[in-house]
Amino acid sequence: MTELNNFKKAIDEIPVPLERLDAILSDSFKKKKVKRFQFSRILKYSAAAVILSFGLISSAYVSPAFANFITQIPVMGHVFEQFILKESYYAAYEEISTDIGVSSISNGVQMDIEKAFFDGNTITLGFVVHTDEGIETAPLFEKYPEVINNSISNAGYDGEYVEGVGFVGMMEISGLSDTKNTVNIVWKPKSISFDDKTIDGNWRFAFSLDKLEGILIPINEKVEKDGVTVQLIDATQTDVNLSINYHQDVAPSVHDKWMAVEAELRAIDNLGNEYEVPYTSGTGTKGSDSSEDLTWNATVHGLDPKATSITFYPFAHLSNSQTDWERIDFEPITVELE
Amino acid sequence: MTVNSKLVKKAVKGDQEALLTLLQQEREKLYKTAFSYVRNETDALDIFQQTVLLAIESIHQLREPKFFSTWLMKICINTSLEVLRKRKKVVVMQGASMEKAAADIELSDEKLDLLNAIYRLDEKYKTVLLLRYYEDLTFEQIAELLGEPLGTVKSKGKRALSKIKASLKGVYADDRAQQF
Repeated sequence: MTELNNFKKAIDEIPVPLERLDAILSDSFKKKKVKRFQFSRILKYSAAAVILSFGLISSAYVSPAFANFITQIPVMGHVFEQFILKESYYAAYEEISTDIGVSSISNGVQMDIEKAFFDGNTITLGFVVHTDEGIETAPLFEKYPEVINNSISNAGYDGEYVEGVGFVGMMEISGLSDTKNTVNIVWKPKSISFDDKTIDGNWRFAFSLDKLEGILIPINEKVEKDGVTVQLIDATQTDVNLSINYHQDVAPSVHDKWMAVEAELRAIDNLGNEYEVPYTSGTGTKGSDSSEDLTWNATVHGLDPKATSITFYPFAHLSNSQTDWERIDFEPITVELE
Repeated sequence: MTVNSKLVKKAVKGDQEALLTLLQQEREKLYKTAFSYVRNETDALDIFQQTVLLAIESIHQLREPKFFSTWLMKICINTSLEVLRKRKKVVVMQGASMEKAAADIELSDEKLDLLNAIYRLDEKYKTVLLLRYYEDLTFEQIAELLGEPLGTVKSKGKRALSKIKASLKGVYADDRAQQF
């Protein structure tokens, strides 16, 4: 069939980096630290979370069942669709961000990093890309920012074109291998693609961010249902958000039945404001009974400064496939804010 | 029983060497599938890595050895779609990697245009085309795999081909478009 042959021929023209594929295969089967490519979405231990919650310093990769879950279960989309430019978050962000105000122009494309902040888990950058001709499609950068002496497991951005300004984007970088009080960021993309073209250039940014001051709130409360335990460990409250560490513990009998288990949170403060609580990174628990025993860090964005308490409603999805899944809702846990 | 069926059965029972052999056989196809969605090497490698890890984790749950390849392809496609969705920057453009790829292997203009036409397809059409024409599944099998009505899948397949034809006609008002 002509269509079949043509399609196959076209796809077969895609060049394949065989050596790198073989390296991934080899590493995966050795059960060693998987070779990480830039911004691998395989989550890894967050050093801060581990030290805080378990006192461990060893590292391991989280179960790839996590990847399965997010790819198989449509209901997960509700959390992942969280738009980081949410209005309430935006306003708060304006107040606490560090003014970076750096520009770099190369081959007619100007990049500005206007503001940024680091809440101890996530680095957030506000940036603008513009040209004299305007930009119709979201720009694709050859490279994401790097954090010196640190590796990153997640990064992404969103934004929109603003007439007369350019593509205004907000980037989130999380899953740092080592959370420090200060992060040093370098961003040197060699090309930017947009509107069906790729512009090579020499954009360069280097700046530091201090960790936003926060108050640690110990929680250590757990709820259990149907073989899954969710434990809220602690939270760090800043002026604008609440970063929470929580742990899911899955009974082996549950994991025998379900390929993936993933606990999430939603929250409502005492003023009635409802928040989604998207997680920014997850960590495996070395030596645990189940590879689904995971510790998550999640963030409540745009926390109302007048709120004095917040109630978390944990829920978990147990899944084997897109159609084969169950949801568990747990008893709520209320946390007093500082 | 074919050699592959034996290998799959071994893999399902926990024979990692057998699974490694199977994944080595499938690696190019998986990578090309991932690349056709994300159009850059970094993300395609990332998807490949996730697919491999997931295969290792869940191979014991594969019930029908004959569906190994399809099962793997489904993981790869789902992972690719998730990466695109999370990036929220699914842009219809020719990325830097694609240009580099074209330069590296000296694609003819015609092949490059066809490949770009495939890249530009909406993901829902691309998935059906990949499963139909790259994985050689029937529309019935695709419908089952995607959990969609047969009519919907066939319709997507037809639309996908129409879109490619239309795209190619923008470049070649001749045989090239008619072949599709």
